[in-house]
Amino acid sequence: MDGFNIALHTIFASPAVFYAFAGVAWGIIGGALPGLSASITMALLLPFTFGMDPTMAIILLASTYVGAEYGGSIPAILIRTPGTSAAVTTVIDGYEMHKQGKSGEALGISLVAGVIGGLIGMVLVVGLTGPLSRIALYFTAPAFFALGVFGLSLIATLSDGSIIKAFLAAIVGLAISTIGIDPLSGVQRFTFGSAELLGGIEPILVLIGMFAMAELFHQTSAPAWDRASTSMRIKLPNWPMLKRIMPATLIGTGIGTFDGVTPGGGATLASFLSYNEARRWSKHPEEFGKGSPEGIAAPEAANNTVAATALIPTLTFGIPSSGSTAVLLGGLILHGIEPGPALLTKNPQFVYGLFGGLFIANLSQLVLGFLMLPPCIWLVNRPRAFLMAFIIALVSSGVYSVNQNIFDVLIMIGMGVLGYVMKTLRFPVLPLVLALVLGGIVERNYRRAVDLGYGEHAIFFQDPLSAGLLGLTVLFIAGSLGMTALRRRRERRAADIPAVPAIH
Amino acid sequence: MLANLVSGSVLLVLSIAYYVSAAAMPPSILDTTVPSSAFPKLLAICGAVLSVALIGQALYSAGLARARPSAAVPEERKEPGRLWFEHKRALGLLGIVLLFVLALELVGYPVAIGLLILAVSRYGGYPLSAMSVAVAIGGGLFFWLFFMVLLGIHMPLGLWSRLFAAAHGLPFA
Repeated sequence: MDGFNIALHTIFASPAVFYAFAGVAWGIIGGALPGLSASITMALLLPFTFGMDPTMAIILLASTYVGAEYGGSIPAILIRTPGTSAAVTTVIDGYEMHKQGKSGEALGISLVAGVIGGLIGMVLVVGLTGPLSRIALYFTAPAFFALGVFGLSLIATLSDGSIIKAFLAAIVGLAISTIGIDPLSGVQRFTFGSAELLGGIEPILVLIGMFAMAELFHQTSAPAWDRASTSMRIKLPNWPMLKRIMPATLIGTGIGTFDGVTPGGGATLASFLSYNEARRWSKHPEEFGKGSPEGIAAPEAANNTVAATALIPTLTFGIPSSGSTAVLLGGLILHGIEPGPALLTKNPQFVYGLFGGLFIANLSQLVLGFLMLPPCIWLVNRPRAFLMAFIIALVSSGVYSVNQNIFDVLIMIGMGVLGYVMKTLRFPVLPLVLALVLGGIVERNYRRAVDLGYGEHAIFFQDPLSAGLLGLTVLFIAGSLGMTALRRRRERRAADIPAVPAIH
Repeated sequence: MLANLVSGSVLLVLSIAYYVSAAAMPPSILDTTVPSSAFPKLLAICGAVLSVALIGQALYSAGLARARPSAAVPEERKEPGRLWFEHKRALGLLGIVLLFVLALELVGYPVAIGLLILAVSRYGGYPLSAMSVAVAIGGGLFFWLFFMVLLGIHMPLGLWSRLFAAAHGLPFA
């Protein structure tokens, strides 16, 4: 069966449509609640995917990501508070349109631009995943190990702040992944006699702790947000408006495509870049910041394109571009699906089924955008204290339900504390999470490769693909260190120059 | 800078402890040319090197700031009072969540969830009122129905299981 038929079969002969709709609906709600990012909204769902068919589980998670990117624009437009970090740019013109009494139009532009961006992004995903997966034939154990190291280094070097801290975070993540019975030799590692640690620390506990619990610890001292008007209706753009926003939408889609396939790019960067480019190429640049429809269309198209194209590095190389795709990667591993170049050849039913489900997810936004607006406004207007209480109750119950073990809840809380401490000390969380998720694959391929090389590490440099990837890793790290040193020197030089006194 | 120095030192100690634990792992008859301790040892060495680099960077920055105060790159910092307030709030929430875990085995899932909702909403600034109690009871019922009745998950019932067992003359429930 070819890919198209698999996708159609998944859509019509399985509950994929239901999961796509459910994921988008949940994503819109999570995205609309300030403080719940797309990654947290996805992480909250993880415990409920246990026991589900892997394709359906991943359709649910990926659809949540799609929905959250649109949902983030609702509070951005209505109460000047972005629901997700990627919706920060939507606040600028979205809230201005709201003040001019055009909230419905602003929400409609956000919805349509997002759907166009998402659909174009999906076409690109389908087109690019196949050719990229063909290189799977050249991958051996040393190359898989080198790919894992390359991915971790890429995320570490592209993380905010100190590179040393990012690499340390990755090392901690890899170290956590070694806890439990070693699957190759049966030796207990770092279990300290605890029966609960024999199976290791499940990535789901770390994902929920680091993304959801740590954020709740931070949110407890955050100020309350405004209330939204309850009499709001979405107005889809008419033909002249659609013609006007189309160039900005395409700019957002183009930038979103590039950022989505670049590890570390992410939706937030894409929305900022697309806003600037849309202003630069607009016929009405003077309207930007004063309620320009293009100022909403460009970043919203970019967000939704990233939600689609970020699947390319995640599925084909196992390298996520953001926290949300790291959660998705965690979901893949939880369901026994190993991401990487061999995924399409080993598991085409899953890959094309996922693509089919995501096409439906993107289209479903046109219906769910309307249906979910009233409940989102209702939820945004609830006291924040109740929302926090219910989220903590949901997180704790969800984590307990995975293995019906209180120890899991304690580990999740511990990971939340670690995430909070890391954020306070400015250690990036993403390298740790990614290292934990990929830890098993990296270690297995490392040991397999060294075994193949009769105990010699030279095998990593004898395999051309492995040598190339390790060379690229060194280049990235050296380049990143060089750039940081240059920036620091420039900052110091600027600080050394005495300020010129003002002439009165 | 001090934070980096402290976190670097803590991570260095942890790396050494991790290496020592890895080195103490017993050999297995299933071991190949790469024993189960090889990867952890590699990680511990990398961790130690990076921790030393972080300590070195912190010391270098501190020395530079002392020698040329004007050239020191200012770090974005929160007011100490605000920072302490945030930590206290987070600690308070941590306390509530830990108490919930303790209460789970004691009073059972539905009651513990209701108490958790009540405590977190009160801590979040919502006054204790008939409304907050009603939301807590409703929340407890909702989560009990969803997880235990609908999904069929065995949540701890605490004293309720003992009461149920006693009422039905069972040794346990």
